[in-house]
Amino acid sequence: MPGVTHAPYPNNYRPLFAGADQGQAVLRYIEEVLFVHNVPAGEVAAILVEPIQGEGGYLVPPDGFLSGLRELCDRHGILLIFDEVQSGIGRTGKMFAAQHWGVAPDIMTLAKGLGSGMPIGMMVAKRSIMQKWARGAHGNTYGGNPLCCAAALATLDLVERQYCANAAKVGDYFMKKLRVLAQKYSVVGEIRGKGLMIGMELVTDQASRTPAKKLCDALITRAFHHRLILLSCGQSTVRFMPPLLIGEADVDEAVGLLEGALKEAMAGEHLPVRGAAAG
Amino acid sequence: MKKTHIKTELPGPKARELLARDALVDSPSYPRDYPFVMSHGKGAEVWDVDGNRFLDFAAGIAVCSTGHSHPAVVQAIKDAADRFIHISSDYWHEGQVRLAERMNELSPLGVPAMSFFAQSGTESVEAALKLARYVTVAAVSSDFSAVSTAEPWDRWPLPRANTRSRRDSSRRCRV
Repeated sequence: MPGVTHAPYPNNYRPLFAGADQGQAVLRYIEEVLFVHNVPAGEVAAILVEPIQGEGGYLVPPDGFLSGLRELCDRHGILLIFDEVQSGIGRTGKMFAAQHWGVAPDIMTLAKGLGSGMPIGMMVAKRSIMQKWARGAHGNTYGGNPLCCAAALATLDLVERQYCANAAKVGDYFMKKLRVLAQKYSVVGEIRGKGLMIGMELVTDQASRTPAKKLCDALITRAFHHRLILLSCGQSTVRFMPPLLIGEADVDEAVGLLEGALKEAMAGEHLPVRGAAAG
Repeated sequence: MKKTHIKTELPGPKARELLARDALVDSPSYPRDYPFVMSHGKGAEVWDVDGNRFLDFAAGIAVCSTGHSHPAVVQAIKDAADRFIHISSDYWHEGQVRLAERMNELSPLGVPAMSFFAQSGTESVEAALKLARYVTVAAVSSDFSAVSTAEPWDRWPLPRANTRSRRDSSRRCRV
């Protein structure tokens, strides 16, 4: 996309930069490399970021990253846009993922969980910003479709009253169960996420952290044969994004099916099915 | 322990028949990983056309937040469809205003918020980039109205004055 400059997402499991805090490293990279050599800060209209990265691998940013971006944007007069398309509407156990860190964007984008399946997206901006749009500056044919709006209103009621808190509670339980798998299998590299937005990164072994893409593909297929519907993201991460209404019994069932599928996938990849460490 | 609900090999005969038809007429571009052919769903459970039950931990790519066919959502869609299915964003209706009001209440922005409606996340992000550029861009054509949507209704129809909106003139289109 012309006029767009990309910056890496902070990843403490696979650090790109020196130092323990990849969030601060990325902030320095933006300020000391991108703004110096690539695009002057004064020419940047906005920084767009997912508060928790989705397709890229379900990465949770280190504490201080989003607030650091906010501070950087404020200092340079840059707008901060949070893409909450995947992480918004209760998915992470809060209505919006950025609320885990208490950081407010200038503009926020939504879709996916908002309509419970009806195709709706929303771009929400500070009134002081959006009211600058002139009549005719942007429009569409289907925007505000009444069926989509009705589905979204019903969804927001359910999520606010019930499912957001449920996602936080059941998500914690789910992560604990997955961390038990990580103790048992050396190919389970990292469990990360918030609420019911959880990633399980597969590696050839925990020491090397080499992404195990073939194993990930095999696991997704074997899970289907064990009657569990899953998708992957990033290079070799299984992502769990169930409906927000699931209970602990559903998690127990899913983790049982997942473990069966994982053993088959490992056998198919000729990986020894063994404990990573004692316990 | 729930009993196994697999009734056929996967994909089953009905699924295989549909997959064969699909291969002739549907784009091969979709990144499909495995042959799940859906019949129906309820909550976090889905069934394929051969009657096999699955636990759905993908939710249509994190979309089915309230589960499959939540009764309250289904009823809301049915009620809306009974009234009208489409009118376009050239007009007004209660549902859109209510949803924008609701988002204004829930919004984490910390200040009053406005909403632009789209059909997908891609279009929402596209709209966000367009707005960000619009409010920060310098050289723009000025042959459209700069009257904002906050214009009082007693001035309808909106005047189409050739005035520039208040935009920072020091910025180019960079996002």
